[in-house]
Amino acid sequence: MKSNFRANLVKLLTFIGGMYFVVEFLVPLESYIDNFQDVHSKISDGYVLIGTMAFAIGIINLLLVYGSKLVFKRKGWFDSLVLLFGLALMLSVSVLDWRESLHSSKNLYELNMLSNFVETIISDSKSKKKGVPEVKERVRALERAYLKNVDVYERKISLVRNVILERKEDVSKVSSSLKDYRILNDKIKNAFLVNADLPIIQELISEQRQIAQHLFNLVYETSFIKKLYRLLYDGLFVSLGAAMFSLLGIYIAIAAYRAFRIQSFEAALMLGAALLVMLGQISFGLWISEDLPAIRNWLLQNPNSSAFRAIKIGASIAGLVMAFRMWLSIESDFTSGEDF
Amino acid sequence: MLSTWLLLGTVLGGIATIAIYSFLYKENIFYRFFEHLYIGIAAGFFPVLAFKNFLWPKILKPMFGYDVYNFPDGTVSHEPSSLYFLYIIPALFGLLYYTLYIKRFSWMLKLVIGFSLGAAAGLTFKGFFPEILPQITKSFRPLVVFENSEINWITSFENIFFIFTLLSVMYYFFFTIKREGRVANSFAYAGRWLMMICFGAFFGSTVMARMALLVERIKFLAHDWVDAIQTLIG
Amino acid sequence: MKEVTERRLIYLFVILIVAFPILLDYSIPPARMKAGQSLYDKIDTLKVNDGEFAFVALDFGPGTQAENLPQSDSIVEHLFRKRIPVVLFSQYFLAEGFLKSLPESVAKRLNRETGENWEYGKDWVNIGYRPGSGILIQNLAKADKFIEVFKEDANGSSLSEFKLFKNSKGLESVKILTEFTGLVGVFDSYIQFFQKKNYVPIFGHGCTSITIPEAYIYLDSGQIDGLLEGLAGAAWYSHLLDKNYRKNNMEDIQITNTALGVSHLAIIFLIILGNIIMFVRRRRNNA
Repeated sequence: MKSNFRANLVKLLTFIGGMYFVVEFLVPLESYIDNFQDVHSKISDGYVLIGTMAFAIGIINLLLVYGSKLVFKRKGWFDSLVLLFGLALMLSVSVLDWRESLHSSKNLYELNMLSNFVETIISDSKSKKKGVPEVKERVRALERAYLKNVDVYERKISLVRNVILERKEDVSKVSSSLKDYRILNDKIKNAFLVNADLPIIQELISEQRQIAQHLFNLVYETSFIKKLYRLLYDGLFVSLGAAMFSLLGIYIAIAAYRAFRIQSFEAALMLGAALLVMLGQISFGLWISEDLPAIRNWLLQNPNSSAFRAIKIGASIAGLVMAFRMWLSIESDFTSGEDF
Repeated sequence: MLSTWLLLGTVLGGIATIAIYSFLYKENIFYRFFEHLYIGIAAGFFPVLAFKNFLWPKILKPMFGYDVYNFPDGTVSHEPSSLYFLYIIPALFGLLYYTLYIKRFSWMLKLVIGFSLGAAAGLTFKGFFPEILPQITKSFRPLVVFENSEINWITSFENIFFIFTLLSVMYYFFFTIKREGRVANSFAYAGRWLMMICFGAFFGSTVMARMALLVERIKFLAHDWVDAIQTLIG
Repeated sequence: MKEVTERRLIYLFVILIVAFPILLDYSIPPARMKAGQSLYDKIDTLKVNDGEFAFVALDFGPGTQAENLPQSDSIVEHLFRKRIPVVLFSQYFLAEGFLKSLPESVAKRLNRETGENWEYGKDWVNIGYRPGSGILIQNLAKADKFIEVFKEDANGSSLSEFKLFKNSKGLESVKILTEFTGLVGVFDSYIQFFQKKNYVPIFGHGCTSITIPEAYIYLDSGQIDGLLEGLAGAAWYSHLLDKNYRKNNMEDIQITNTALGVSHLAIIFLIILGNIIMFVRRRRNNA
């Protein structure tokens, strides 16, 4: 009884999991539900959230497998130590890097808010939104808030130059941005003074925000943690990944020498096509014939495309049938085992 | 002039590449060190990215109203929606993945796996039509092509050849009905031969894919790495 | 023992022969790639209005960067030269580093050549890696506003603050999608979902060579409008940029492509050698 309930529950959830996308595809829900795009977006995020919650599974498994090797000093314990060191290093550097980037965007909070505020004033006045203060009053509030923040930002921005100098980085980029930033300060103050149109003020604040962002970003990019992150990613990780996969290049050479034997008509056909494609895609092929790239193209567009399409159509139909069987829990009974 | 960090990265990258290539001679501790380091670093990327690029901006920030600006006139950019708290349900459901480590509750893992499989099946259904229908419709080609009221023999031949290949390869994989007779067998055999041409093209492309990886690494070693070492040595 | 030596000799032979053109900085012009040419023409004649942009998906990691990186580099350069705003994104978490470094290096290179500036936020925005694959893409295609799906860029800045997204809408704002990957499933998600009933953006694809045969069926059906075929495709595209835009030719990729050609010749030689040895051995056994 118990196992039957569990198995049925799994089947039910499998069905519910797929139902939304099937219904959403078949029924024009946007005709029945107001603002369906937004609802759809939120539901999609819910699905992604379920999958994302599994983010730590890989780490837990690695800790269990390699951690136990290390703790009990089993064979390969040193390799496990290296792996766990790499994992801990990358995790901590990523967390610190994120913290640094959050700090950088936090610095921009007030300018973001002001930029957002002026945009909201414009859109509210266009849509004649009720329950909000008069436009004039809001612009005055905007001006007060801007002037209040001028000094705060002046301090923050001046610090950027010092930090960049301390880090012995190229300070020329900072100097020109600082100059632009200060020019915009005066322009915005002046715009408030002469009661300039709101879109002009919006444009100026947005431009200033962008310059400030560029400056804070420079601090972030030149930080120790960001450099360490890039060293790990660009220096070690990319090289290691590329080298691992490039071994395949050497293995295909040995396979070509040992396994590509013309022992049948089919093998000869395959070799002929392979040679034409290989010679058609390299520069040296042009030394043999100028037409080789065109021949390669014809081969890929005709026999290859049609044969591959036949395989693709067949495989996709099979995939669709499999998907249905999975959705309806009739594919294979994964609700079996000692728990069910 | 490269920065010190960039130089250091290039030198490290070169050492790592040589360590991996040392496997070609035979398995050794140098190789194993970098192999395990690679796995460790690769596994360390995802969790923070999942938080930084999805959970924080899309779920947690709006849930707790951190994306709301308090404007100086006392208004707010938008009212925080309590509906975001509904995301707690899929989040808790997603946590069922971790029942994998608790024997008593491990059956619950299948609830969330089943749900995800169902979602994947639903998406397959939704994606099948936009992907495969154009493949089918574009295969209906005219067998005789007229151009300026004359037959275009080349295009006509190409179309006939295309459709012949498509049908014969499909027929080769058609096992529902028993294949009988010389014509049927020859048709299926033609499909097999044409597939061999397709696989030949595949092999040729695979060679380029694999060799491109090797060429890139050798270029890195011969140029970037050697330059970086020369700069370091001065 | 003999087999091991033979194997090691072949390894050495391949590495040395590939290194030869690289050490000599030797290059010859690339072979013409028709599918790459059509993508070039599409981008070259592309015009965008305010709020419209190119969506560049870098769905590759270090494993296939040898092919996908030069492809995306050339396309981003072309888009930058045409002053088409670029939005970079990935469904593959290992691409995170490339999303940042690629546009920066292209912008720097172009600045050196032309003296003009390409700015973050105005000329390009990096959305970063996002989980969700197919679910995310179908959501993206349906959304009224593109920025609502992502909310923030990779550094945590709100997308609505960027100039590039002012006046942008949903999928209609994407004039062209260029997607670079060796992962067939990721490519499929764009083919399946990155479209609306009445709007499909131009679709350019940069594939790794191993997926060229499969990519051709989509080219034939018109589901993609242009294709960069592996490194050879990237070399041809770069050659077109050399011819039409660059003040100085970019020799680097042509040297790589030449070395790739040499490696092909090595493989052909090894196939022939293997078969000759087989025939000789067979004849000797028969005798």
